[in-house]
Amino acid sequence: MSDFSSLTWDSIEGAYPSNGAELNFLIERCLSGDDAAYTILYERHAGLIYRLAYSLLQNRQDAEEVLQDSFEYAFRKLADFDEEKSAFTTWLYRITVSRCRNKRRRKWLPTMPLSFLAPYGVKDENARSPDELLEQTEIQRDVWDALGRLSPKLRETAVLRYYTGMQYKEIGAILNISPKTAESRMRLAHKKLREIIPLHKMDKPE
Amino acid sequence: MTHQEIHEQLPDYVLGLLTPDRANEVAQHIAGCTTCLRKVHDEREIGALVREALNTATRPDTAQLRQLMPPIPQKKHPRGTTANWTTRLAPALILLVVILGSLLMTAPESKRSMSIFFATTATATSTNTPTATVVQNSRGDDNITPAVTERFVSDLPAYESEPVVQVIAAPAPLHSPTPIAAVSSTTTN
Repeated sequence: MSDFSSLTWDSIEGAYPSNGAELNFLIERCLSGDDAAYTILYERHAGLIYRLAYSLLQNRQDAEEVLQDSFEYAFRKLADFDEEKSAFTTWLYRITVSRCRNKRRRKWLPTMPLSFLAPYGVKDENARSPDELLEQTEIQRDVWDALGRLSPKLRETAVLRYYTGMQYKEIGAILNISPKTAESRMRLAHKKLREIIPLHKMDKPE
Repeated sequence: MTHQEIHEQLPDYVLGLLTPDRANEVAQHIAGCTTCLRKVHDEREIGALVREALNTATRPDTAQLRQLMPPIPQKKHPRGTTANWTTRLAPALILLVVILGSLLMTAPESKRSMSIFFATTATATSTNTPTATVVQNSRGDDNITPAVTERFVSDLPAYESEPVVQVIAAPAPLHSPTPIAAVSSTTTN
């Protein structure tokens, strides 16, 4: 059984090939009614999708909901996946980004962080636990917050580029924008992050 | 390019936004320029910090992820086929057939005095076997003259659930010139 906790995006392609004959066989088995094949397909890609959703939405519960919605849709539309048009992970990312955008639209209301109400005893269930916060260094928390301050469009591009190293043509296909637009957004996102992340803290984390 | 021009293009160089020729020119300059080398290192550091922050922050709970797997769909379509549009159109087609049938059976004026009770239920099911039943009144009248005016539900939305359409003609009193009918449409989940 695969270990989600060991997955990192930059190693996923080597550890769990998402293309090629093996993946095609897995998809054919799913479409033939093999429930175990669905489970394998999910376990190979759930970590990727969860991480992407969490990075874009910066909310654990929302990320879990998007994960479920994305795979529910992917399972239902698996017969329509065409390997000639895109890689399987690209197809999944596109579904996930779309679900993240829907989630953001539904939540577009004037809000304030629940942390503002912490002095009054109001707890944010989605806030990180002390253990989770301890796992991050101070600079990592600063970077996480800096990403949150980017607009959704810039954050999408930055996450896909920085974390997956995708080319801009593929990023454009996922985000439904032209490669040139992806490039200009990436340029802008990088510039903003450079301004937001305190320069004096830009040392290698421990 | 001058040193200053190259220095300004270093972020684009790090982000892979330069053409191959321009990127080569920058790379050659960097190899001999400490200032630009330091700048490239700082620009790359942003990406490295983002990757590490996301890697740590988004680490999933394995057990939780397993619980979040959605149900496996029961319908399996061969690869390359599209969604079953015939099922979605079936209610509209059945309604059309019923209405055309009613129009064809419209009685001449001389028979309008006969009362009828005519009910049709059209149901489209997920097994793609639409069914229709016709119920006659208990008198078992021959020469049924369904003079029905319908009010259509013009748009049958393509719900994934099965729409249920009922066409009901209220019994017309004898010698009544205009029997009244109503069409209703509901959806069931």
